[in-house]
Amino acid sequence: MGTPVTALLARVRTGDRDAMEELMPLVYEQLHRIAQGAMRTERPGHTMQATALVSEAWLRLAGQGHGDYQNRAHFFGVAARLMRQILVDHARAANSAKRDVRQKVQLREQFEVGAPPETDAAILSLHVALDRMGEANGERARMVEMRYFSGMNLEEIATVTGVSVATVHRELRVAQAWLRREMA
Amino acid sequence: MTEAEELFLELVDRRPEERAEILALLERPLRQEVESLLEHASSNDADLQGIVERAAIWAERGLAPERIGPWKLGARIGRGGMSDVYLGERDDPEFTQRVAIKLFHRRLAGQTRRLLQERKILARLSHPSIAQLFDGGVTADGQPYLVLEYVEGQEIDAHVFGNKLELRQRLALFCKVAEAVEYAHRQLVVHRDLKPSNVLVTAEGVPKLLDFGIAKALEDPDGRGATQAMTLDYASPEQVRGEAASPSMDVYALGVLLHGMLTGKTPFDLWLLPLDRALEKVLHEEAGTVQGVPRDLARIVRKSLEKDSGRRYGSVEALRADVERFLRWEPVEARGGGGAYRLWRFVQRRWVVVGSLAAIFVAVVVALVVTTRALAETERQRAEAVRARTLAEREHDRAEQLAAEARAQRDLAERRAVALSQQVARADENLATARSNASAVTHMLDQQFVNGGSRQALATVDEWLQVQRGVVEKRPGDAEALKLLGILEGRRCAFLAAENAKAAQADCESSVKHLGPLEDSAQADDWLRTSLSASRAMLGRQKAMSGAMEEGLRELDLAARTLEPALAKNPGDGSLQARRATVRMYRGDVLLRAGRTGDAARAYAQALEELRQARGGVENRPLYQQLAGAAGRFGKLLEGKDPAQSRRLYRESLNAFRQLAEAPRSQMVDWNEYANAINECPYPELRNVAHALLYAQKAVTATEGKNPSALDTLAWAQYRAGKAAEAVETQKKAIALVPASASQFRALLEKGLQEFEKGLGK
Repeated sequence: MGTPVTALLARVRTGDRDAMEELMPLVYEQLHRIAQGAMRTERPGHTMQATALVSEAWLRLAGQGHGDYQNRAHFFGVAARLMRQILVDHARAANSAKRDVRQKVQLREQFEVGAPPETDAAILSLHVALDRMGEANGERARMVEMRYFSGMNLEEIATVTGVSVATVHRELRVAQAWLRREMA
Repeated sequence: MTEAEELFLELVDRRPEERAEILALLERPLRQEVESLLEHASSNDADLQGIVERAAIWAERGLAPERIGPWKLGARIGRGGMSDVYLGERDDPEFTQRVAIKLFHRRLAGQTRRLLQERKILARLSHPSIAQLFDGGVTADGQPYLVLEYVEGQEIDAHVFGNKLELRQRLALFCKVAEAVEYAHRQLVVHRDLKPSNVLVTAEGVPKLLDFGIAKALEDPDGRGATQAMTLDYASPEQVRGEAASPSMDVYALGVLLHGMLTGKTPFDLWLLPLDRALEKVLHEEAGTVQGVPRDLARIVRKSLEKDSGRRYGSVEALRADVERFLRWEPVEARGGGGAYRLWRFVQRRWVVVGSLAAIFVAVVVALVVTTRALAETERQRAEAVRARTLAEREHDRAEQLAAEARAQRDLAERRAVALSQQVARADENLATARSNASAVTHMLDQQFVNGGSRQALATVDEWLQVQRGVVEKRPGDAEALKLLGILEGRRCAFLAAENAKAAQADCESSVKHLGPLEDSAQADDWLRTSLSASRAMLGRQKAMSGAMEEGLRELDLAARTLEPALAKNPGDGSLQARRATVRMYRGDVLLRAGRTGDAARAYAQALEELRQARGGVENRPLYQQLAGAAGRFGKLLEGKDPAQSRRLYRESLNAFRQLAEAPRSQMVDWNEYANAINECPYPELRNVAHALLYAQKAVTATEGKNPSALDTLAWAQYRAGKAAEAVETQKKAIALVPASASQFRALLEKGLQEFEKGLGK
């Protein structure tokens, strides 16, 4: 099962947009299955920690022995966007479901079942700010996505975007200040 | 990038006064935009990272049960490859008790029976430094879990560096940890997964060991397979080989722990490596000697980390006893005999052939890779956060420690030189040994050159050449012997070239003469090719510089071509790519010297383009160093011709040098180069004078003021910072260190001195 994904990734790297279209649902499905606990019977309690999850999806989809650095970086680039979508969906759903319950049950913070509302609010506000950034500077928003939602390092981001590591560093530096200002 | 953003980046790292000065010059809307960005700047992005991670943690939290038996599950406080740990509280208003609940992943359900069996033994472990096991069982939907004492504490390395414990305090703490492990061993329980995240230190300074015996309990009865829990950095070779749990594994892990408590690092930096290479290191590569600590202590660490468990301490008790001996200033057991053994290992280790690696480790498969890697990543990030926090405070200590390290390295090199020269007296009897020796020797020579400068390295290489010439004489026509001779000559040429390029030419020629004919023979390996290419490149450059332009360029072409077979075999090899780029840059240099600026620009552009294409990260040091150098030289060439492009190149070059200098394992060379690059930059706005001073000083300190190049760099930095008097003093020290025979270098230094003195007169 490693082959189709690595073949698709190879095409993505040459700029083949169709390949990207074919790849997205595959990756999304994989991420979602783990995230939604569809794999529950196999691995309950398993983490959704964003970066670990993306690594895991990569290993499952690409299979062992296809850990080519470039492929891996591109995969993580694709997964970043999807990861963001999943977390935002989750926060939205949790936000609406929790509104009524929270009034009734007053538990100490650490023992709350759901996320504190500020956690959901923060990710949603980051999402909105990123959308706004994307309108002005799509490339930069992508870099932010890769950094935070896939845990990619500067070299990996540079590999995917085709710019230098120094440029990635500068872009992210600006992006951080910009996002904080936007979310303040 | 907008103008405001460019300005933001320019200003973000500057001092407030400087910022204000520049901001005052800007028009209002632009100034406001820049100011508002600066207001939201921060040296790290933990806040943004935190938003995503918290969202992910809570999204996942929805998947764990709310209650297990009498325990209510709270926030998740940890995660590992085998289990997640939650805070738990007894669901009883009369009696509150806080515990940690370890919920194992479902795929481990098959181990439940063994886990519960083992639990009974583990529950009997009762020691103040071992987290108590209270309870355990299986959840309603079949997930095994354990209920443990909740320990509030800091991971031991974070504790050690966060509180800046003194050496003796660190060792005392280590002994307490060892005592707890001894206790468990007496109960016949092996930990098998000792690492900082399993050794917490409470606010009272008491170490608490977590997860005792759990790794072993989870093991398949045959001791192998996908359920192996281990963290490669702390795993002994026998553990990696899947052997049954034994106390020696804990001895090894404690050795790694001690290494970390002393240096902040594990013996091998495995995280960055692909799994097969990481395994190879664990299995076969001797850990380097711990630097910057007393020698006996380094010996203790080394003895704990022996690859062969039979050579390690026989028990944790013996290890602890030796640490205590050290604390009492008594000779340690680790000093032992064994010197010859270690020397032998040193010589051998570069030639170890790793054959059966793949076959052995097919068993340690996907799950291990996924979990240990993911886990290692989070741990690494945590450790890095801790390190970053304490870095500023440790900067000062570090400079001192580095000086000690440089000293220690030189000592080591000297001792090796003596011992090895004894060995080589017999070298002609045994060419296989000679080969190993030469490789060890070239390595040692390079170290000497970097740390002690050309003088010392030249003295050693001359000694070696004498030996090797003797061997060649005894065995005329022996290709292997000729190869070694040629390689050593190439080294001599390189060292000499640093002092006097003209004098080096003879060695280059001789090296090429000996190696060239072997290029297509059975002796031609990558080692030979890189050495030959380097000699040809130096020769070509020297010839071209001394007027024989065409001949020199031909030699440089040959130098590039010599590398081709090696490059074809290892296409992504950064150090080979860096070598090829060096040859191209030499080409640029000589063309520039001959006034053929157009051709020179093309050569530089080609070198630079190749380097950018290869684009390794800063971890790929040789490549990055070349990139930094190439961009700088090209920038210089374009100075005055295409200022915008030139400025861009200088910026790229300085950025790369800076990254190298700031990289975690940067060395004296990186600091010196960075400072030098700043000194040479013609654009004042790109020159970070404070950095030049800082890094030049670091390089001088690390070489104990005995490296003339480092002193020269410092002098220029001082001069540029307006301290001409200090620059004069520094430069005089540098000149005093250079023998008259190194005429070119000396002349260069003296020219600098004249300029400084002129500046003084003003």
